[in-house]
Amino acid sequence: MSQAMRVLFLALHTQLATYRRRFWEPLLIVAAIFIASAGLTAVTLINAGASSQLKQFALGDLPVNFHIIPRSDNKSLTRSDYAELRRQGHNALVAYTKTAGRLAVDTVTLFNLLPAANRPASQQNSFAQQAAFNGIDDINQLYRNEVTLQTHPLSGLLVVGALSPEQYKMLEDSIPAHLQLIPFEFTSPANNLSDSFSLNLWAMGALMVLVSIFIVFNAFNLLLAARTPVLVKLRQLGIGQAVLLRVLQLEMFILALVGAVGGVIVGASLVGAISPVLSNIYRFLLDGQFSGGQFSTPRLILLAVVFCAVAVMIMGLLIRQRLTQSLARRSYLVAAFKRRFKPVYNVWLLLSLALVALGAWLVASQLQALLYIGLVLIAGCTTVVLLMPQLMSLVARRVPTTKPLLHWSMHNAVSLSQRTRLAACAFFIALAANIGMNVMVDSFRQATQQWLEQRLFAPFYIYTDFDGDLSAEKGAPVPLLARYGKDVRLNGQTLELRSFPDGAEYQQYLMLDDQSPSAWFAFNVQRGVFINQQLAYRQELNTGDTVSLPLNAGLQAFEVVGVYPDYGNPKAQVLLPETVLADEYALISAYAAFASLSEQSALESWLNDHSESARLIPRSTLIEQSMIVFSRTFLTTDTLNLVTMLVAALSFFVSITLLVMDIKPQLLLLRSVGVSPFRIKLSLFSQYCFIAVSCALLALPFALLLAWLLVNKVNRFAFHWTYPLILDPMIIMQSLLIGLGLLLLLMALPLGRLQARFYSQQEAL
Amino acid sequence: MNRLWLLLLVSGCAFSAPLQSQQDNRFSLFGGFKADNQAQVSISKPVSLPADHAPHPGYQIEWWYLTLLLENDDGEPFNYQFTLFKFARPQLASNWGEGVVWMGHSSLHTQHQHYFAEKFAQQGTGIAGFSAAPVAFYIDNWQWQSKPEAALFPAELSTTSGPAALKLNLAASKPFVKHGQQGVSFKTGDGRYRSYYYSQPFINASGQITLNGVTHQVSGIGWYDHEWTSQLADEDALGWDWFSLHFDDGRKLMAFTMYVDGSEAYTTGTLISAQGEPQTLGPEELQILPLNTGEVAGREIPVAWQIRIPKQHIDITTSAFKTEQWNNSRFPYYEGAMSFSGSHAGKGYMELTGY
Repeated sequence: MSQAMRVLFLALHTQLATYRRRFWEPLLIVAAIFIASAGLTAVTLINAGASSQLKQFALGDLPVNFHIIPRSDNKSLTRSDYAELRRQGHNALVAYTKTAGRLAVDTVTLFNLLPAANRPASQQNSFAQQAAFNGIDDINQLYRNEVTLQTHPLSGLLVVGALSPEQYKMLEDSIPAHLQLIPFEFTSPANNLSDSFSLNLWAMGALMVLVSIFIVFNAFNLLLAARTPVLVKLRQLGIGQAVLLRVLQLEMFILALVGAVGGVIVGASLVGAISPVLSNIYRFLLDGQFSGGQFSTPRLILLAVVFCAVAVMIMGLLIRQRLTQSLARRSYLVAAFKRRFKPVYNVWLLLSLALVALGAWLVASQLQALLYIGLVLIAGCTTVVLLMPQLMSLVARRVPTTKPLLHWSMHNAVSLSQRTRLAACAFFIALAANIGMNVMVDSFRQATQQWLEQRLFAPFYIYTDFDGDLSAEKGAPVPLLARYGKDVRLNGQTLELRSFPDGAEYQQYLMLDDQSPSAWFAFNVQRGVFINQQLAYRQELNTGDTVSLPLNAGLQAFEVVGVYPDYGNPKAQVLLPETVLADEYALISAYAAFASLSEQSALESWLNDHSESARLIPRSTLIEQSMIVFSRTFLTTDTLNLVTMLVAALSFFVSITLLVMDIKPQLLLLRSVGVSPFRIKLSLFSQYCFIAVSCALLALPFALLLAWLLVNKVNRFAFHWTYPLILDPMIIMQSLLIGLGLLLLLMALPLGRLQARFYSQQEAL
Repeated sequence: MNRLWLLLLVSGCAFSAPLQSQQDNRFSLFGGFKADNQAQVSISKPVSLPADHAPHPGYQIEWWYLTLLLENDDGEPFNYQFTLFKFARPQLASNWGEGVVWMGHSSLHTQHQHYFAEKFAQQGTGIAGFSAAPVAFYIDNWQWQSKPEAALFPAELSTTSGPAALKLNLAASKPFVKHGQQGVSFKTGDGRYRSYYYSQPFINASGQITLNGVTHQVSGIGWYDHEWTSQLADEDALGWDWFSLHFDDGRKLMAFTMYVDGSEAYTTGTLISAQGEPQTLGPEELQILPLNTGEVAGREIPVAWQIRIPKQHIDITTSAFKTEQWNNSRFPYYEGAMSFSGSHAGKGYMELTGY
């Protein structure tokens, strides 16, 4: 063994020898990384599973994972290619043509692939109905009149249902040279709630990564602090700084590896254990099974190893600088901070924060909004690192010396906070994001509920594929109000034209964000129209602007007299007076039925005679079902939010526990001067509370800014709708208390053990 | 006349939930339907072969139906049903397809297993259809390919049914048999319901059935039907009990009872001599009586029958090959092999609908 290796081995051995006496230090660092890794794994798997589910297109219960398309634009996929492959026995192939973001599918062959069982008879007997049931169009309806295979060639062949590896290989071998078999991804444009859900998932994933990075670097920082005394001694014994650096990096890598790999395995197992629950959620939400997407456990372990290696390398650069300082002075952190940070910097810091807050108004795109959220979080972390110790010092200085224990507690808390700032940052990010997202979701929930309650004005609604106007049929036991519709194209976008009933009594049911003074008059005389937020935002239209709509075989100009919210609708929409559309409607989306409960059965009977597909749904059921879908949609993000918070709290707890070990001599001194174990415990707990509450209070303004950004910028640019930001103190307090509660509960756990240690130390003395 | 109800179910628009009929507690099959009488079944235009082997575009529904009673070298039974249905869906006609939908059923029964497959495809897409020279029917990878120059038989049938792959050679030893009056088959006493209907009951089949990696050499006898009409698609049609019997003495019998709401149940059939001479049997000459029921797919099905032709001294009792012979297709029905004993013995197939 070379001299250098011997020195390295000796130094490493010396380091590891400390484990016998201070085994809690490496164990807690491993625990911190383990928790971060398990949390990140769980969030990644849930996120990937949900995202792949969102991207996965399914017909009924059958997933569509692959499709066959031409290799290049020069060669097209022909109907003969389709027939040839099917006649070879590849009967899972179904031809489709994509137009205007929708799929027109060969519904006749698809009919056979969809399960016959468990479908109501009325959904079994018609190809078109079956297509509509699955949210697709019938290819026979597309290829009519001037639309031919020459003008609109086939887009591809869907592979309907799961393929075994053998089936995949057989299919791949069968397809002609000009075609290729590739994964299929298609998200229905109608599923905007899923888009919102997807964005939430993405945000939660990014948040968890950020929190994990803080946790890992915090753990390394703690290890560096814990190792400093030994490193000083080794340096004094003549071991070179480079060797010490390598030893420290090696130890960090080993501990990180143990924690990270263990965390990946446990995190993946946890997700596996709860996958039936997740499957239930996704089956309801997305009509599919949950799976971990493209992440296998070995792949996650590999990622964890790479992540650890990169983190250790980055730490190496920081350690080199710190090691030099540490070898000269142990408590460099506080001293250096005090020396470098001058009070005047606070002014700059506050000014910068004000600029960040004001700059939020300038955000003008979805990407900018997401980047800006990152900037807000960085600004928040800077505040935690630079401002929190000062604010805590201010409070601590107010504590009189006549109360020595409290005085010591507060000052010690300040000291602890400076040494746990990275963990505090992780907790800060998790807490701020949690509060921000909860406020955003709560605002959305309240806005949606209020909107539904106002918009659904009739006691019952009828949904049917009846070919005609039920409201014009004679003999209906109650008045029916048809909602006429027609979809047109305007400036390259699909635009929904929908009728709004004539009559002053209905005006109160249209929730408007903005309206011109004589809006309803202009609307009733067919000069004005109301447009939804989606149209207003997409085409930058405001009240007073003019829109030209293709009506009566020509373009008819209308003044925009109001903008209304239309949550969940991905399309732009215009409300026209009923009389305008009644003569040239293409569809009737629903009927409002003004029936009392006693008239319900008569109405049902009448409907059965006229349309077997008609469904009569009470208003309360519609609202209830909509809100159930809403709640279930955000259940996953709520869970991810809580996991992130738990991980951050656990990390914070580990940091504090580790640092408290350093002050054990001081605690013993307190005990020796007669302070009871209970009061020492209380003192420590008050320190934790002080740090946690300070962090939470700093998180609050940033959380509210985040909520504002999510509602007014992210939603605005991602989905083209906004809603009022509702600051419900109960929701804010609830989020705050859950975060703090989690942290303080964890911190209270080791206090009991501390008491036992005092007694055993006393006996030894 | 069998099987047309299946076509009707898929051939039109929505049908209402099955209704309990007033007659014989049967379910109405065609709630909401009224017969399309565009193309008539007329005695003035009887069945003409071989031309009528081909599809008849003017008619609303049409089917080609094959049932085979096969055994492997060890005597194990392999009972097989292959059917192609064609129905007009003019509302589908487009630049994509011709508005004619084909549906295929392939059902294989071994002693303990049942393998069933169902296919749909539209004519004009190249996936399903008919070609005249040589005669071929196909839907996906299922194909009936007649030999060159042959009208229909001999032919080679290549199909699948779940994990089973079948390659069978079909040969006919006697001429085709036209039912009713020159192929015009009455379904009700007043003749309001009728179809064109002829059969080939003298089929010898042989070939291979590969099932779960094992190839069985099989051979046996079979029965082929071809029927088309536009007049049966009506909500009053409540179903039927249909039988095709191979007597051990070489004779064949096609018999059915048709149930129509508001009419007497109508029983008729064709007794075919061993030489292939048909004799139409009227309601007064033929009796088809249920004996025992069994629970199949959650419903009571009469699986044992007595069939009597007093003038011919025929009085037989049928016994199902196995009770569970339910085709759980998108439009389910009972179809399976049986044997019979009594005054005469033999085996055959029965189809029971409306239950």
